[in-house]
Amino acid sequence: MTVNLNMNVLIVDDYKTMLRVIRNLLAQIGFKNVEEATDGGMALEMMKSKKFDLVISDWNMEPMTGLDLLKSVRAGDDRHNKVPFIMVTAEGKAENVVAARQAGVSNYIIKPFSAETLKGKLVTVLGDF
Amino acid sequence: MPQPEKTATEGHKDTVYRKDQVASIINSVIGKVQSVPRVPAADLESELVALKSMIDELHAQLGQVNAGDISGQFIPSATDELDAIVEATEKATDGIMESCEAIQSLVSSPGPDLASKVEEQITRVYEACTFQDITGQRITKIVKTLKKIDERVSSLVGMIEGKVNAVAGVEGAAGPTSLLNGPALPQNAISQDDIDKLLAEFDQN
Repeated sequence: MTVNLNMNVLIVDDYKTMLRVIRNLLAQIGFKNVEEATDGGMALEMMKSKKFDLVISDWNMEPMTGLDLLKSVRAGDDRHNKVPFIMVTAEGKAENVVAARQAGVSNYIIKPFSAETLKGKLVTVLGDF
Repeated sequence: MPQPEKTATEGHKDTVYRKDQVASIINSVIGKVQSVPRVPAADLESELVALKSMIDELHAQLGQVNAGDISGQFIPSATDELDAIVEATEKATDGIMESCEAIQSLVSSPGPDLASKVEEQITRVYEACTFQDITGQRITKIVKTLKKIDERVSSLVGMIEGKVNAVAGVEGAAGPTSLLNGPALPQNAISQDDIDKLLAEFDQN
């Protein structure tokens, strides 16, 4: 089954440049519906009013971190508690990866990353394009 | 009080006294001390105990400040982060310039697959732009380090001025066990392959 490129994607990062980079890379792959949030709290608010099919989030954000966002999403309602969630972060210690996995992360990308890595992880999480 | 005499060390910044002048000063001090009504030994002892307690407290506070961390840990850490920023920005600029030059070369002699080749170079530019996030996080770490140095120095100054009793926490909330450490220095960084292996091991267990 190929991935529906019309799916709703939410990208979360407190650096606007990073949001643009990820949005543009997703656009190159073919994703059409990409929305942005600048921290975990804003992302949660957006998820209350809209269903997203994929979340790509940074970890190191304030006031709500990406890990806290992940935990809230997994503990939330049926609409989003199983949504594919990819952490894209510079937090590259083993304990970070373990903590994210224990919280239910779908995959983990370490910054800086290449377009190829992003696409590879999307294939792993969503299936072939 | 005897006045210092001008001696052979004229022009030297220190004041010079003769032996007999020094003896006279000491006698003057002894006389003044003896003229003060006798202080009971118990009072003197309690004053000395209080003085010792103050010295011990100050000593303990100075120990808590860990002033050695400034030169031993904070400054080297900030220097390493700055080096990593210089390296990352240089690498990113180099990557962006190379892609621009490649695009310039492609459009000057367009071929049949021009669009895909240009798009490939644009992707390289997007990838290079991720440096802004990483360097931003490194700068945040440096700012936090500078704040720590400021706290330590302020504590030391406060102690010297006798204004401070408590010392700020040695480490902030984000101590070594915190999961928020920002980007690792290049020599300590974990690779995507290492993370993938770790996740795979996690899935097997």
